[in-house]
Amino acid sequence: MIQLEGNQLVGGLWCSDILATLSQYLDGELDSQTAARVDDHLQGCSNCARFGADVSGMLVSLSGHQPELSEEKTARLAQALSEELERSQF
Amino acid sequence: MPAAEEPVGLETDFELLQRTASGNGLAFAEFVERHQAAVFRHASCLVGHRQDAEDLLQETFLSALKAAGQFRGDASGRTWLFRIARNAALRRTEKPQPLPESDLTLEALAVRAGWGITNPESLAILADDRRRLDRALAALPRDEREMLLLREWENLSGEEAATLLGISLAAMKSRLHRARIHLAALLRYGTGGQ
Repeated sequence: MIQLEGNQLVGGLWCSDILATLSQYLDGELDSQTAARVDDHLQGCSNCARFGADVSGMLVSLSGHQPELSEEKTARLAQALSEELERSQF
Repeated sequence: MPAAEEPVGLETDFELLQRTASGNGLAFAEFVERHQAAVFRHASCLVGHRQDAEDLLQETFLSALKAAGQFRGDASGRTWLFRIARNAALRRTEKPQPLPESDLTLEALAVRAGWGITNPESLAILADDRRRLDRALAALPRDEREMLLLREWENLSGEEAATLLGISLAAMKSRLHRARIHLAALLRYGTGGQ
């Protein structure tokens, strides 16, 4: 099993603890006490701070890259549904 | 469309589908307009190919049209459509998809994602490369890709996503976390030189 290189105890939490809770931290789902301990760790651990910010930035980029439904596809869908509506005697 | 149909305003999905089941085509047009972009995004993450996604989009709304009278309003119209799309996509898959790197631990994925690297190239910049991002998303196991995009693209709540996927809230959170780190690993480490 791969161990995290440089896994260190900062602010009462190990780097491996930060990795395990990173998503909940980014989503604001940790209780205030745990979130404060994570904050303490991030202030004293540049690796975790960088990695967390990096993943967070990736998620921002991801949410900006959504496939869009073109007018052409929209028109084809409308046509298909219109034909089905006629067949169904709507 | 019959000219006598009543104009459709801001009705709930349940009301629109009830009217659809009663023969109101305009109500269904409003329902489609409301959800087609989200269903297309979800179809894209389910099948991973634009033409297949478009086919799945049509199949989903044609099924919804036929099943309009069965909608009970106990879920949102959007998640009802996602469930229809999901079932249709699963029917299309004749055999289970390979699960690349599914045996790697979270720690191993994190190392691939850049854990411990002093000055790595930003994951945000890597993700801004559309082709690179598409390849990484395509290389994710489907269950992880679906989970990730339900949250990042559709902003489904944890409870909504867990219900749609038929898993517990704890399992949903675990899958989402793994999917995020896995995507980061695929963005940085590549997808087998593709």
